[in-house]
Amino acid sequence: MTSVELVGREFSVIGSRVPKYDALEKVLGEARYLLDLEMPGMLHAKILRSSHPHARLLSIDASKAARMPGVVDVITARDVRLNNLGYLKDNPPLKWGKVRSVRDEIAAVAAVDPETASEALQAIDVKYEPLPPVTDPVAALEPGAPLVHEELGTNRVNLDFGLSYGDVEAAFQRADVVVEGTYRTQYVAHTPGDTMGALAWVDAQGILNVYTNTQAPFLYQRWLAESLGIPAHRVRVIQPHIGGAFGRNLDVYPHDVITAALAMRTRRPVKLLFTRSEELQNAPTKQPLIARVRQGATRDGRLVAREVDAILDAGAYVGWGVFDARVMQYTVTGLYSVPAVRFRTTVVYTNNPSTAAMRSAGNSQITFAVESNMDELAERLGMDPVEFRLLNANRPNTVTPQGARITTCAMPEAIREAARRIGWRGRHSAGPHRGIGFACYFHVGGGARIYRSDGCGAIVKVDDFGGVIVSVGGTEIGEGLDTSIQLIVAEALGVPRDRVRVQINGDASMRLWDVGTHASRGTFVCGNAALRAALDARRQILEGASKILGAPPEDLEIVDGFVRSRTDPSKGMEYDKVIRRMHFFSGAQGRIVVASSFYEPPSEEPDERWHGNVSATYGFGCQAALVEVDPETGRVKVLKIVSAHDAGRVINPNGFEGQVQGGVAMGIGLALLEELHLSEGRVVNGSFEDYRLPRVTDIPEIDVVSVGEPDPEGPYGAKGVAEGPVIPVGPAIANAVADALGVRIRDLPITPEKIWRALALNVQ
Amino acid sequence: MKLRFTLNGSAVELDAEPWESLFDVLRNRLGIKSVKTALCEGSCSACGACTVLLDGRPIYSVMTPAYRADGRSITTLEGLSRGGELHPLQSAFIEAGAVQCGFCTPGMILAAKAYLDGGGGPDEGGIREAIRGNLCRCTGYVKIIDAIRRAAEASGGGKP
Amino acid sequence: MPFKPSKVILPATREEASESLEALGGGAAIIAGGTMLFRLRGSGLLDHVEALVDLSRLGLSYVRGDAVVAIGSYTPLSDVYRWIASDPRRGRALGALADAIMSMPGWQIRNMATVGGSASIGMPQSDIATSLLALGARARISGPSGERVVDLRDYMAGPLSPSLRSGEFLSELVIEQPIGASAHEKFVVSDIDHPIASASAHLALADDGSVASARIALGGGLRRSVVLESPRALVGRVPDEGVLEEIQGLARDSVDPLDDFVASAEYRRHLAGVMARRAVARAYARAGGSAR
Repeated sequence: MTSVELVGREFSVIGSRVPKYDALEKVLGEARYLLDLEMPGMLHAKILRSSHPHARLLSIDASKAARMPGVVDVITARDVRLNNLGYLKDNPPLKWGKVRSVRDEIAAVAAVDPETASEALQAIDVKYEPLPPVTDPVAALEPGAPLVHEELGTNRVNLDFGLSYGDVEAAFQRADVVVEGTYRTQYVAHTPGDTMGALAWVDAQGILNVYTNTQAPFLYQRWLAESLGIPAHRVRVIQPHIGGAFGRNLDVYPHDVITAALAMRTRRPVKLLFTRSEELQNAPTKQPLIARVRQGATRDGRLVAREVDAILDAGAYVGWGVFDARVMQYTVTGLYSVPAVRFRTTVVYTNNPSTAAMRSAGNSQITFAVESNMDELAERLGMDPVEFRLLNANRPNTVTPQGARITTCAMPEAIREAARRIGWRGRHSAGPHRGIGFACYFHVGGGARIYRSDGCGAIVKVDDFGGVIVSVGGTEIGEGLDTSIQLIVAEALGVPRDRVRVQINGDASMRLWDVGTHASRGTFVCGNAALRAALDARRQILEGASKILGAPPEDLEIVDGFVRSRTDPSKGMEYDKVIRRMHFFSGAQGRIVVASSFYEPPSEEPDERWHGNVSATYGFGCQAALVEVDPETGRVKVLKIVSAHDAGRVINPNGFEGQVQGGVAMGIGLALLEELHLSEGRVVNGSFEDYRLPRVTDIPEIDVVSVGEPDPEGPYGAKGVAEGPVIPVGPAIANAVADALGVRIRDLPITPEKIWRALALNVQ
Repeated sequence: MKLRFTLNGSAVELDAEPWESLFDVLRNRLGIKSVKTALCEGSCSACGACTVLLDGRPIYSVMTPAYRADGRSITTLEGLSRGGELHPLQSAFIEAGAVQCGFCTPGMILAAKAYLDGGGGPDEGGIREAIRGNLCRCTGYVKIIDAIRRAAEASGGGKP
Repeated sequence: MPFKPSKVILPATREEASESLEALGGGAAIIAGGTMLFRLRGSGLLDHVEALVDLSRLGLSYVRGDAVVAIGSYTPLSDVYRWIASDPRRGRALGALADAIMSMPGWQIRNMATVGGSASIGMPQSDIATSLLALGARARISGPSGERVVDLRDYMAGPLSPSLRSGEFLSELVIEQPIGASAHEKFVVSDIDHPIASASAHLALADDGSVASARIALGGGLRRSVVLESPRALVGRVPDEGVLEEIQGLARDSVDPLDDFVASAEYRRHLAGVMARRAVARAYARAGGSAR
């Protein structure tokens, strides 16, 4: 059963403004995050990391540390056998032989309190033979460059995300105008309120339990077990309230494995929690990008060719950030209608930080490059940037060269709305020192097939009192999935919303499998699972009611908790009463109401040439930014952002707006503020006060717009939108600055000094 | 040193070391878990997660010596709802959709409470200033400002 | 980590305070708002601190006066702000100090940080100090041999090391004859930044609207604060475009800017000029002056 039958109906709760499911606990201060968790006898773990970005590890002497009072265990690679982590299995949780970054984990201590653990680290004596570091991805590929993983004989990572469709060279020949540019994005930290960590212990049955703020508990369970060399069914993952994640917690990291190993050895609970500076210095970062973009168009404004060459600095170990390139592929081949496309990637090992996916997983980086270049192309064509985008916009029911099957698509509407609401009157018309810029996005809206299964399981139980419990494998990280699930189930069953309790986070072993909260897939995939389970439960109730009321099930409906006949008003009964009759008054035919569903979206893993429809649906949007620039200082003030999104039907308006507003804020951070500065692979602005996060003073007027139609595959027509709002902010602002001052900044963040220098160059 | 102060209306007496912060004492001795921290040892980013009210004024508890509480009154989020009834700010935050991950919520509500108690009104400028010392990574602040405005309107606050 | 002072001393009288400070010598740290000390407590810089000396009982939290404004060293910045903002004449004359206080990100910091603490940081990044320098503030220091009053500039000898003799402490900031108008300009990218460049300007006008006397203090990312007393470019003149450009050039030439990943020296130098010009222009407008 798909949602298309449900389209066009009046809804009782879908689309209404409701409180977030867990808001009450949070405003009462009762939510418990990893920060707040403690257990009796708990030890605290700290990790000793490398003093050098690149060095041979000659010896580690932890004997003094082990003898310190209050220190219960010290481990190095010699003491525990841990299998390598990562897609390429290139990351040993505890290093030996050599270190490849200043984050490399050399030893770990479990002690009675964090201060003792830190002191013990100081007592560990490590002898290094420093090696020359390589911190530039281009230099890393030159002959003679120091090798990060010597056994590979090269710094080039054996991952190729390149692809090509159509004859790109011929297309460029045909083009009347070709514009080329190189664009760069920076190292960024996720920095949610919750820092990284884990609290692990082994229970009486020998099961390894881990409290952690992972966004992918079932993958965490698998990869943790694999690294520890224990069966995964003896690992139990429990998620507390999570204070944001933004993609940082989609993996198992060395500190996770180390914490678990210490718990297994000491047989006591062990907690490791990063402080803010430990996080800024050691947590994986957003994937930086260097992209050379070349696009060609014919004089009438039609895009004919696009070529992107991307360099991805993987750091010392390949993390999920490198796979941002998979997302970049779909934008390179599918953002706007381009018949001939080529994408080439070079992934490089250096001694820099490793990377993780961060909200939009590559799309904010690549869209900055492509949409900046689009604007430059429009200018060269002498075409209005809005008209240029409309002409080439994606359309519904089309297939991109890479095989993405676009079903619903309201990109043209999003562009028109953005232009209208920002007050677009053409280039250079925004006023003195003011400019308006546009950018669009094309992103997955129903999963991204990052794993062999992209599904989610849900269970719905309706008890004898009418209480509805829905359990989903998905993860709530603050985005509001809990509320969407509650709305979907209440609507599907026809019962009041407050009857529905949602089991999300908590003990993953009590929930059905889900690949994880990412790729804007929560409402779509988990929502569909919950919807199907709820409809099954509804069917069971109506079957039971049919026998009780003497009416065929097709004649019955549940409205506001009352089961009634559509044709005979005298036939009706409260749903909980029906259930009690089914259960207690049916003798040997007694039944309870419980349903489960595993929803696997109808998408496909890409083939060996990267071709495939990777998502069940796609989201589109357009942003317009109005900025004012102080030409004397280069300071940019964002006055207004219009953010128009095709997210299908909006199920949870507060959630939708919250995601857009929060995403725009994060986008402003990426565009203007945030940057981790590195020196020889080490983060130098590693204290929270040096890292510029968007504050209330940075937020402009934000106009949130919903366009488009209900999606045929999404639950009640919804599509994912969680990442969309982050994507276009950077290029929209870059384009707005160009509109205001005629200078174009091609590397993020767009700082006042960069603008000041560009203006000075212009004058010369 | 012996300290005596009121916490959310109740009298508290305890011993604190000179180097302990108010945050340490509230979290570790008095079980007040609503006060959060970004664990910024050695620096401060003005994230506001550790905000508490000291004699009604918002301060950062991580940077305040515990002994400063002596003879004063401390308010944390636990002290806002009375007998199961939510403070208007708590209701407003729920209704306006101002809560996402919730990590910043206790600090935001306390900063807003001090603003309203000090006569702050539903003007955007005053509200923004009230939460300038609080960071949120999730909401983009829009609905938080909205919630505070609603609570201000409901309480009829502000200068004429 | 061990920032573990063994005790907190809360002297009840000034004599007790001086005695404690003398007795403890280098092992004592005066704690005012606590923001600096508790921020640095994990850094290792304060491991030598044996005792905190807290002067809260000495009644040093006040702000008063008319022809001479006296601010107790323990006065929270929020109280100072409210006092200034409550009177339009004070708001003009002491506008730079009010601007500097409101440039800090949020009420929490303003409620905790004290005037004395801010003046004692001794670094050009302190907006409070920069504004006080432009206002010609003086520091009243109490000690075993009584009181002495020095120029704030002389008090601010170095980073976190104000010029104090044994047993002495800062009791009050004094601003004499706060007439005319002042303004503080601060350049940051994010609200949380230390100022990349900052400038405070205080102007006293003559009847004809020209500048009778002026003081400009430059701060932010500099090696040291700069104070320009009654620059020739400004005194006796009305700050029109030409004069303002001269001020901009003077400020540019007067600073020794830092060069780091936040900003280059060249950019900071440029900003010093812009901030100085804007501070003078705004102070002049605040004074009710209008120049073509």
